[in-house]
Amino acid sequence: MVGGSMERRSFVKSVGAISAVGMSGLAGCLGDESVTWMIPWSEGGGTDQYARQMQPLVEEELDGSIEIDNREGAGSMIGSEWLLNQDADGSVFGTVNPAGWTFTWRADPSLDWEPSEFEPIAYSGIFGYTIIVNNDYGIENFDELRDGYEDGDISGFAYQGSGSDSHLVTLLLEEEYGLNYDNAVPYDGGGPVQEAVLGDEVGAGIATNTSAAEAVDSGEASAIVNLMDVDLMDTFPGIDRISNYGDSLGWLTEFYQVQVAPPGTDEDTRQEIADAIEYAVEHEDTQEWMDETGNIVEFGNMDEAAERYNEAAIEEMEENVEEAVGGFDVFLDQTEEED
Amino acid sequence: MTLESFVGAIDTLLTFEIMLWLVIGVLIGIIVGGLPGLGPPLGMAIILPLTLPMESTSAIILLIGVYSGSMYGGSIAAVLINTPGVSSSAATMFDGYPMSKQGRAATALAISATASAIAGVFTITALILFSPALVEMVLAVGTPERFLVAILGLAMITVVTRGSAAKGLLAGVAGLLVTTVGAAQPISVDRRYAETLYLYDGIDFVAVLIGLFAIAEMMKLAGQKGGIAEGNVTINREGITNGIVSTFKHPITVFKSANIGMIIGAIPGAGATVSNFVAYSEAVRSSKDPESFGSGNEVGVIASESSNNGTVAGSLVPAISFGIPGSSSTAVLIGGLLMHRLQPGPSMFDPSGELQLTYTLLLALLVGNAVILIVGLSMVTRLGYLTKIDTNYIIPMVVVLSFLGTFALRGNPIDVLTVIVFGIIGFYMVRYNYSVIAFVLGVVLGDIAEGNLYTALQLSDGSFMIFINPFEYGRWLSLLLSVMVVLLIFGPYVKQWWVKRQTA
Repeated sequence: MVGGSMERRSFVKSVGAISAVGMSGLAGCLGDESVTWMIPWSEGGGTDQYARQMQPLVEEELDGSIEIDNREGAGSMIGSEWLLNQDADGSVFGTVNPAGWTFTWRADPSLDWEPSEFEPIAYSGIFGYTIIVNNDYGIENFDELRDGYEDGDISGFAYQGSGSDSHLVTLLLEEEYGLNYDNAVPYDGGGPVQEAVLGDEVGAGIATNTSAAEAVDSGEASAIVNLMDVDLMDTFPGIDRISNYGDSLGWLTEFYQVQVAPPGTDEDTRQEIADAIEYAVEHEDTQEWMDETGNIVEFGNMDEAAERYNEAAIEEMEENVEEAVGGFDVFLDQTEEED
Repeated sequence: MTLESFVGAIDTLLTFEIMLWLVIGVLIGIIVGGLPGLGPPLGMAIILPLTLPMESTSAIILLIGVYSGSMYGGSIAAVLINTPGVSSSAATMFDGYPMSKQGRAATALAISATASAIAGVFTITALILFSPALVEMVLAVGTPERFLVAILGLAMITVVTRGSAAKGLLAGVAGLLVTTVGAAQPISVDRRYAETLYLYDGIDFVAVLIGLFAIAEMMKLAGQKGGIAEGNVTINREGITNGIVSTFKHPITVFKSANIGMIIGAIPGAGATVSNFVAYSEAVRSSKDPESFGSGNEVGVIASESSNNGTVAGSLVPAISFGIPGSSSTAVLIGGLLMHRLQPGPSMFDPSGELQLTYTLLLALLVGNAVILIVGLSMVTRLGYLTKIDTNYIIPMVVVLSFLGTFALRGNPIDVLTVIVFGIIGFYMVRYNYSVIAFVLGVVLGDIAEGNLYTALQLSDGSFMIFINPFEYGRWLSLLLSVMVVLLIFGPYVKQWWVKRQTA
């Protein structure tokens, strides 16, 4: 990786790229203006990284400029609401992450819009939850983790925030899969969970597959259970699957990188963006990035994107939550009571 | 092997292309950092996809250059227009801006460049020498310790408050109250006002800082004729020399503040803003003339600027060694590493892995600090003239920049309202002698204290003994921090009582 010299061509190419920062009015695909790609999370987060990895390739295919606009806040609801109210002229689209997105939307009764109002474009990747364990315990699968808690050999189980999807996963792991942890501890996001497990503040916790890959690379923790349906064997060889111990949890633990447009955006325009996203997803640079980082990159067309957040998907989630904990309202009331 | 990696890193660094990217990065950083509200994460995120065609070392060095440069750039706006270019230069305003008003902007800017550079060089050298120990430290600091670091910062209110202690305390508590708006993380208690989404994550403290300092000061300047600098001042090279000499005359402050910056910077979730205030407060506490702080004491600028550049080195430890993003800036940096197929982890400190790259990055930061010094000092006299421009021109410029920068924070309209409201609050706080610094400490540290207190108590099943009983919880660092908090709060009273007793 490190070299004393640098290819002249790549240097010249880089100078060209950097000097493009100040350029405006590049020929856009959808009219002659740049297109805004709204990310409802802050810079540096997982969804932001996906978008910035693909941005140059999408620009290349659209033959125009893309401006990434981070509109973070309220668990992605601020950016989503902003996108909902933009003009349907193809000048703006955004990324949302169902099922987490639809879960957050459902958990906030103050929102007066429906996810299905957004027009689908495509999806470009998947990420989701795994269980990571500190290496000091020598635990290698879900069975051993259960035994570890039963015997008192391991203590504390971390999740990301009360009332969140990972909180519900934590409750389900106890009720449906027999994980009798002694103490479930909420942390303010994935980074703090990862840090807590690496530092052995808690023995295990829920981490996304990307932060699990970082935790594994640190040499301090292992990813032992895949909570998704998506295969993670390439990234974590030999990883156990939660579906070996009960029903699939994919409806709650898999998050898609779904591109959506404001209501009323016409299909041709969306298809043009979808084609550019497909090009970016299938490009060798992106594939290499996937291999190196463990990020799952996969293209889904307009219909497949819609299936991630349409009314049927939300209904299915409602039914699953009903069956698991008696419904959203029960879950939220219970959470509030605990807090 | 380690020496081989080090020599290899020097070889890599001393190529024209790498040096060029470093200089470009630092210059972009200084500009981005100087614009209120923008800051390093946004600057780095904009650059990130543009680095895709670049060779990996050049790309990461460009990003690190932006990160480091913006830390210094933030101080320019802080000194000249009382606006924190980046939140980590907030404490620079306390004495840097009064110096500008006294016609000593050149000295303040020279101090800022010199202290930033020296602290940067010192902490990066320390990081190269002691990185294994720092890596261990990152994992030793957990939730209870983070809570106590925040409490330590809050306890500094007793140190930084001038005049009425009751007013200082009231200001600190008011600051804490500001942080109770919005959902309490990590629990799900919703404390939004009127169920608006825009208050879900609370009131942004950077918007509060911009309001309290920039807008409040512009309101005050509106009644003043001439420029920011009061009276007829000359801006010359003598001021620069004074600044450099002054920094070198306070090696202990530089050393101490740089260390505070590096150590707190290495704690994920604490970061440059916290270290900035802790270093400033420590400078006040240990001074023989604490009353002069806040009215143009050069040591205040030295402490603040030494700490925020020290933080850059510290924050790289959890980012590079564990892939833990301690802040938005390091999150973007990790994104850059991953984008260029570099996985954070122990291999970054392994001679058979990527140690050469790690050394290259650290050495690049070292050289970047020299660039900061040269660029900073060469701009001082020109920038200093800003303080002589008539306020009729300065005020609209600062107000527009403040609002634009605030909106760029996260595109939240509430932030703009925050700037206006806290501008008015700040104006009246100064007028009626309420400590703005105490208020800011409350605003900056409230969230960190609350979230970590909840999680710490969850870890201990509600027992506060987790903070003071290492025999049961094994947290000796918590006990040490608890003792420091107690000493900080009660030490001066005990000392006073003891002296009185001895005299009697």
